[in-house]
Amino acid sequence: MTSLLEVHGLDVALRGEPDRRVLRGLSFELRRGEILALVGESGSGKSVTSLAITGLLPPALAVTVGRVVFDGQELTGMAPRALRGIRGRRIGMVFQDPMTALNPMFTVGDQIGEAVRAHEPVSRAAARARAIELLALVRLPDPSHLVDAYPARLSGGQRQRVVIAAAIACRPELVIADEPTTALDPTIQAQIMALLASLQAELGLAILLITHNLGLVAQAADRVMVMYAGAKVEEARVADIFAQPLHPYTRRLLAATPRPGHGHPNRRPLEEIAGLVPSVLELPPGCPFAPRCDIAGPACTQREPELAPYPDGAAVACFHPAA
Amino acid sequence: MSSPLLSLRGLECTFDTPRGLLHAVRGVSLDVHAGETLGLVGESGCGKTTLAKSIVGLVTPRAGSIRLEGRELTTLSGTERFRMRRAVQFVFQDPFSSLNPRRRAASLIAEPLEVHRIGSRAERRERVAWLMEKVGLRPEWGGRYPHEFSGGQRQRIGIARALALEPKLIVCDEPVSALDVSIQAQVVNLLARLQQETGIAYLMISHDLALVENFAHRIAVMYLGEIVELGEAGTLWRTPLHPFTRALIDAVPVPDPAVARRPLLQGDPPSPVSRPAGCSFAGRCPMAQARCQAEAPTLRDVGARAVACHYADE
Amino acid sequence: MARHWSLLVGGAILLAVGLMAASAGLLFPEDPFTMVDQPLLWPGAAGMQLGTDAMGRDMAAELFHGARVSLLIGFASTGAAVVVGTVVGALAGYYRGLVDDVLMRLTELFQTIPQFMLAIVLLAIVGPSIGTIVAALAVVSWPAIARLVRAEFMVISEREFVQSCRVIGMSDARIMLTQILPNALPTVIVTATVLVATAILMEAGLSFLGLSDPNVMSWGSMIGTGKDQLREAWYIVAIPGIALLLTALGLNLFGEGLNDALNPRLRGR
Repeated sequence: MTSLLEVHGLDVALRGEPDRRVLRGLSFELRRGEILALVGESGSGKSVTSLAITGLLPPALAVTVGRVVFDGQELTGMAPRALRGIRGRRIGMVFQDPMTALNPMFTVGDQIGEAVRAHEPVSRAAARARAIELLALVRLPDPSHLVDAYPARLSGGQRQRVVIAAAIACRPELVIADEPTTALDPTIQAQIMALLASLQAELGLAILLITHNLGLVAQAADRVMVMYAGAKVEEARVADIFAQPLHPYTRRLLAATPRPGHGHPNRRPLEEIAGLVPSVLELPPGCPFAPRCDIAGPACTQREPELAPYPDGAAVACFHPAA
Repeated sequence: MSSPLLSLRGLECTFDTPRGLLHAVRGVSLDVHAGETLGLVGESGCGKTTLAKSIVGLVTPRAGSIRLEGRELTTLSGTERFRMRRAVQFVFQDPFSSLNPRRRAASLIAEPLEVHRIGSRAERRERVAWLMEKVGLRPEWGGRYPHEFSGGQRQRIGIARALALEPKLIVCDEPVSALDVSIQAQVVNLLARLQQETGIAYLMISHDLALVENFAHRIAVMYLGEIVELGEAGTLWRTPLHPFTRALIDAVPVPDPAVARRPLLQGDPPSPVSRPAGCSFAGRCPMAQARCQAEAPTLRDVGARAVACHYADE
Repeated sequence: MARHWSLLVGGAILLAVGLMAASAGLLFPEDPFTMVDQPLLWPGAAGMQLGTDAMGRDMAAELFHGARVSLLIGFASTGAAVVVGTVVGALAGYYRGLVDDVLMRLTELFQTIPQFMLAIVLLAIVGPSIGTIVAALAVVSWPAIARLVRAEFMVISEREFVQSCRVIGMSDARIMLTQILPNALPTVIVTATVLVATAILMEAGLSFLGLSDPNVMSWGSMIGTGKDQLREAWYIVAIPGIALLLTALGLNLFGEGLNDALNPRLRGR
């Protein structure tokens, strides 16, 4: 598998204040046809990552250091016009909130058609036909009628399928899905994840899946990257990370996920992680997880550990990894 | 068996919408016993939030009875209702919008005491400090505004506020779903600890079935305004009787890649406006048969549990 | 600093006008209606910085005393409109249903009649004086506030922190006053500043038509009496005209600045 997306030492900081970073030295690689999950809680920098890759950072933030390379082309520093040609056509995006992602004033068909016509010189009629095809591809019922429906008529799950249809309209090579199922019911979450997995198989997509839900990752992804306080703290293949998490944060995060079978009458309290999720702009010296870590040692509050490579493409940033 | 703390019988809640009459809650009957946690799960639109709000008076039921400690709530006069508020309180889902942004934390926690004229000023201050410590907040932070706290801390403020009147029952509407995973565990454990210490009961609404299984004694599953299954949490999880419960369990993402994916529930949650004849789940049910389309099942007892399905025993 | 420039510039203008009004008694102790010199003297001539009008009155004195009247009428009428409009809007937005229907029909009744026309009619009936002018302007301005407050109350009363207060048993009155109103106030204040500008301009327009208090000098009455000399002594109209323009501009800028300063912080989280 060849590398489709490469991120090298990416820093994102407040505009004009390069020392106040929200993303700190992120590097990773995504291969063609692979599903890479980016897991983290608030302040981890996971959403900033997706915005930085596609050039959609808000005005308050800017990339200060590092490169993003897509299929050999450098995206960082690319002219906005050229970036627009790639965004939508070769990189599709699915965002979190299906209720607001679609414009209530235009039909579903119009919006998907727009996604097509933004990049390909096709007629309205051809775009509409393509929209119907795409609606069928995302398993929506009665596509030839649904194409003329307005978003208000659709449920959250259905809208998210439309958003996915628009994202894959131009057969992109990469889809970035930022918390695609967080706002949906668990039964619908499962459906959408299954849809993404089947589309990935059918179309050979690479997917960068950003989520806070470890359960979703286990079912869908090939590899996982765990982020904390703006930096990557662990990376591994999915099978490996669940079997043996190396970083204490990953381990504690897994433990904090409720596992059935420990309820009343002999209830076992859920495993907590003490303390608060840190503000990435006000990090103490040393490892950002040290204040909450159960195995922190004296070295942990002095220097921040660097990512150390492990077999099978894994990596951990910790002075006391579990291995 | 002692009489239940909260008793709902035949509760019905409807709303007028441009598209017709929306039956959010259809004939629900439930009990919550003192000191227990009853989990209420279901998809969006199933009526669980409406049910929760009707118990605390934010929604007026169209029919049915709500009894708290034997007293009927739906027919209370204004003053009696005011007094009853001390017995049931509510914790909201969104820690960002459930606190008045212009009030300090201590003032928010003291508000219920002020409204019910409990204690002198000094006594209230003491109680607020005590409550803050109880929920794991430092009393010195009482002078801060909500935006100065994290999501988990705000939720603790909400819990302290709910505890102020020493209620017997707290209704929690998705109390942790807006929080980070690592913080969810903290807040849930806090609620459990408070229950152990004070014997308070909870009606906990959540879409996170795994969380509810850990925290609740019993679970009620709602679909399209009705209870379709009710039973002890562990048993319900291990041996669900209703096909919808099974589907909910299957949909819970398991953080273990070795576990195979079970067949998924298709379709979307139905609209509460147009109710199909017969069993409301028949359209999505993998085991639906002719009888299901024609005849709506009623909630019947199966040992210590209850289920509304014609074919639950199979 | 630069972000708040409209607040600063607007504030500076208002401060200047306010000082004018406050110092009128000190700088020009005599009645502005008294004739002090030859009529129709251009500004700068014979020691009269702003000249004299057709009756030989000191333009500068008129301007300063007029500032008092214009500001008084602007703020007083807006103040009254805010009180009435807030009460109506709050009740309609909080209780909805029948109360809302009745109050909104009432509001619409006042809104469908063009503001200026209504003011003219009212003043023609009762006769113009400071009191009646303030009342008439309040009557035509309150519906806009009512609508705004109603919208704010409708939205804010659905917010969870208000529902939380209902759950603890707080009375409706207390909820409206202590929970909703403080959160609705910033929007109202911003609209009110612009309303003051409108009121001042309307007063000027009414004075121009002769519906001003005959005992009191206002910028509008200056324009009214000066309109006959527009050809030869256009300064008589221009000076109060510029004053009105600057005051209205100052109020608008200040209101805009207030909006930027107050609202994002509240909506941010």
